[in-house]
Amino acid sequence: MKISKYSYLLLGLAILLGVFAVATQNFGFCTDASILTMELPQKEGANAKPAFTLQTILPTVPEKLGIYSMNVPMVSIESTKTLAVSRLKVAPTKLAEISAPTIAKINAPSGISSARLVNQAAPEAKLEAPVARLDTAKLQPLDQVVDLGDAFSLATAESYVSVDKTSAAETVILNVPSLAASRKAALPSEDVLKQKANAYAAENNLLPEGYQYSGMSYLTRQEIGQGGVQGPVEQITGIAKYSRTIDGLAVEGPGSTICVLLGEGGQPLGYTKVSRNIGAKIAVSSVKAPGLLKTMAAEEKTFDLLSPEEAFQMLQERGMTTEIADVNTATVDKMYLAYYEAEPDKKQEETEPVYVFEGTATGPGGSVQYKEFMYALRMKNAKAPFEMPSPTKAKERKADEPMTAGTKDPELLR
Amino acid sequence: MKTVILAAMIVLIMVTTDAVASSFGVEYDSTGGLGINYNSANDFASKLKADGWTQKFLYGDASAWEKDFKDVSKPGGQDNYYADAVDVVFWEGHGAPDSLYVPPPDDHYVTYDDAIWGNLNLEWILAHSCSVLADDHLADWAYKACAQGAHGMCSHKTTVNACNAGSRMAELLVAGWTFKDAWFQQHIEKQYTGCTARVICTDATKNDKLWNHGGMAADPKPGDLWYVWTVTK
Repeated sequence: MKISKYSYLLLGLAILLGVFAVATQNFGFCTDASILTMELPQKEGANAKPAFTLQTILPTVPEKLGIYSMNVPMVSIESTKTLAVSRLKVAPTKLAEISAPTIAKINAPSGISSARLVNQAAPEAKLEAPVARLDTAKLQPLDQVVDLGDAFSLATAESYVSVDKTSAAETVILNVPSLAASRKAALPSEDVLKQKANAYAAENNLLPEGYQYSGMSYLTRQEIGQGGVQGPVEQITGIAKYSRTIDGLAVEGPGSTICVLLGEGGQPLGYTKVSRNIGAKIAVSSVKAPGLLKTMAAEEKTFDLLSPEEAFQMLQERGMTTEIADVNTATVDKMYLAYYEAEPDKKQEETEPVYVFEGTATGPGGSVQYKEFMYALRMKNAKAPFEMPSPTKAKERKADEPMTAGTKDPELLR
Repeated sequence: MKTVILAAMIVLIMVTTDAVASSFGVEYDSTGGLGINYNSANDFASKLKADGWTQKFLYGDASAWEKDFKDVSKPGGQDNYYADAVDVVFWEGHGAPDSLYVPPPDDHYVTYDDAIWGNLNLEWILAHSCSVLADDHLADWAYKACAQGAHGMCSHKTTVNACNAGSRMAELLVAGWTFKDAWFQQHIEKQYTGCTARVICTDATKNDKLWNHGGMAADPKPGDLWYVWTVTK
């Protein structure tokens, strides 16, 4: 049979079309990014594209990972008052015994509100409550919750409570002056600290489902000699940390952390809780196309997940995104998949997988431990990473703007 | 005679006002996607102003200059009008173990060798930057940059994510927290697990607060021992 030259042309066109179709099809991956609102702190470092060296094995990627909604309870002055009463163990009936104006009068600074006060008292003396003032620290909270704009807050001479409006993150410090002790505390062993923290967390119902103890940090103090740090590292305060996992992966970032502060003898000093509620699974992600997954329901929205090899390649192209400057080389000592929860003042309605890189970056100024986050969804990396646009609002400046030279504070001379 | 007394009173009022005024300055880099630093710097400034503090300068991006932090005794330095002319300085931008990185067009590093803070006025410098207080140059920042009269410096050992640290720091300071404790608290709230914050100061200045919320210790003297406080989230 004779094949005409037009047939060869048609065949060639068909092959080209086929190649194009294969290259451009998404194998059923979802392309609707409207639900993917999670934002990483993706910034461009200054001279921060070091030569990365992978010094660990690439992580294994589960067949599929969920994408989950996040939500927070409504925050109000009333809910902040309720929290304060609960955490500071205020007896509500006692609050009626003293009027707000009276409290304000009693606790008004004694003529020092606008003057400069030189604090020359011995550090230990500062830990004592003011003798001449009524100790109303546990009586006044309900009258003193203030709206800071981004949070509701209560600050007394002794305690501090704040609740972030965006995330409902809580900070409760039972005794702020005790934080300033900053001297070698008689801290018990880590086991005892952990027990004390667990008991405090249980008593105050601090840990939502899924949280587990993840380790102890310390506020430490060390001398600085002419050649650098010297002498023993003194542990001042214990910080018992709790974190959670989703689908077996750690939740990284500023959120999903509950820290209980522990002072002398393991006494709880308060806590910080940044923990949005994790809601329903709204989609899934996978390195495999939905049609290739037997376990995946056909109706599940599925987003394309970067492979670890691709993620490492993109790290090298992108560089570091923190406030780092001037690094030439960097090792990747750990690389893993995780979920991400942002800082308290950031709105976050979903959480999705991210790649995390940890290691040491080195430049002319020295070596720095780093942790870098990267969206794991291909869709997020295909476009430019989220950046908050640089404002053009910065004040323009002339070279000859008149300024007053600084002078020594006379009250600080000794 | 009356004229002389009147003139003397005016001079006295001017001098006294300047001496007791609590002042601060802010510089930042919000370029290259660090837009949040604009908010951080401006929120810090607005919250301190609302507390009665005097803002002496607020410069960002191309208007943030190395020489503002550089000692007046060094070539080109003018910290006597800027960083060392105020009580508190807040900086948010890039950093390295040996320097604060001031953005283009100035494009210079403020190193510990450039700075002699506190020999005029500065008490506390809050540098929300990566790794400025890493191990490599702790002694240089303490004894070269700060020990001539500054009370303390807050920054980080590791890399750090850009965030609105300024707003929270100001809130806590105004609530009566010490510089040290406020720095660590905003760190625990806003930074990623594993991130390390640091504060260097002397034992006498470790409990310094804002002037109108508890006050500060007397100026450290050269030769005083400095300490580093560290918290890893």
